[in-house]
Amino acid sequence: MKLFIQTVAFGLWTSLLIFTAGCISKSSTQGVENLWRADPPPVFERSKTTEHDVLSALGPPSQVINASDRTVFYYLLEAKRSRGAILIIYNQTVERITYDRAIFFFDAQGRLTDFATSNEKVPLQ
Amino acid sequence: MVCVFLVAGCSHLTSDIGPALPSAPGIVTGKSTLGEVVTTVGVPSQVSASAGGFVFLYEHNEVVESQLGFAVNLPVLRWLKFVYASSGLRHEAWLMTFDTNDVLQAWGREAWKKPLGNGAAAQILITVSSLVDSTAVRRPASQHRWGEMWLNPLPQVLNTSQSPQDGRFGLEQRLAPTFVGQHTLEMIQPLPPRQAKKANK
Repeated sequence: MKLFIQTVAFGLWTSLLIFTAGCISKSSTQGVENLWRADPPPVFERSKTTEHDVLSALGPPSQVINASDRTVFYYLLEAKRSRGAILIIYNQTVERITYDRAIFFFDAQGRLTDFATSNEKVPLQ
Repeated sequence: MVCVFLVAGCSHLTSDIGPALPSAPGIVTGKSTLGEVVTTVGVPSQVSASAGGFVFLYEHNEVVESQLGFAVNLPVLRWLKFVYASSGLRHEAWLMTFDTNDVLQAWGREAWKKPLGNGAAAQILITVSSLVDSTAVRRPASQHRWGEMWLNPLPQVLNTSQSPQDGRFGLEQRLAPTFVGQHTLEMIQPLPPRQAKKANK
């Protein structure tokens, strides 16, 4: 009888190790809404678009940099995504942090001189 | 079966932070402009004003942690695993400076790979967690705290006007210690690992 119980317990424990598997998937975002990925995207033109136009289209930036007679608007959305498989014997997790950014440079008159958006994209929700 | 009992709990944890930097950026010192750089290379991780114009910092980090674990089939201990972890960091960074005419004045790059640390633990069998503190690399971007800096407690707030996070007084890489250099006057004491991890979340 004792041998039988030990065998069953051993079998259960081994099954638990082999067949218990779990998956992890989690994601989070931090930062401003990436409205520069809207469809259709807002249109900005060098020497024509003003600070007001950018603020109206995208809202307040993550950071404003004052460089003597120049102003920079820096927009950032940070997305963190993790995925994992827990197989008891072997586990794997992969985390990816993506930065969706947009930057705008203005002259002393508040006219857009340069701008760009990042190659990394986070879908607009 | 031997594998099940002895090598239980091996794990591979990776974190990829930011986009990889191109190997051939196609920029020329003294010729490329700020507009061309942000268009071809992308938006930098950090931007700061400098005496002569602007400074850009591009960064990419990758943390890889490998864990080797084993379990023994003994009462109570069978629900635990004993794990040894080793972590490595791959780091790339570019720094560019621009003059008042927005022309690239200088740029430099670094790329290296080095051990980040190691650790050991006895864990419940189904637990998977990092044993090496990499929160300094994985912490949120400094831009999220740009306005919030002014709400820092004393004496940190007194140093805000020369903080690298402000965007007007230079910049720093993610791995830079937060209690030396321009941070010295903030008098921040290094936190114990557990508290530092909590603070960086």
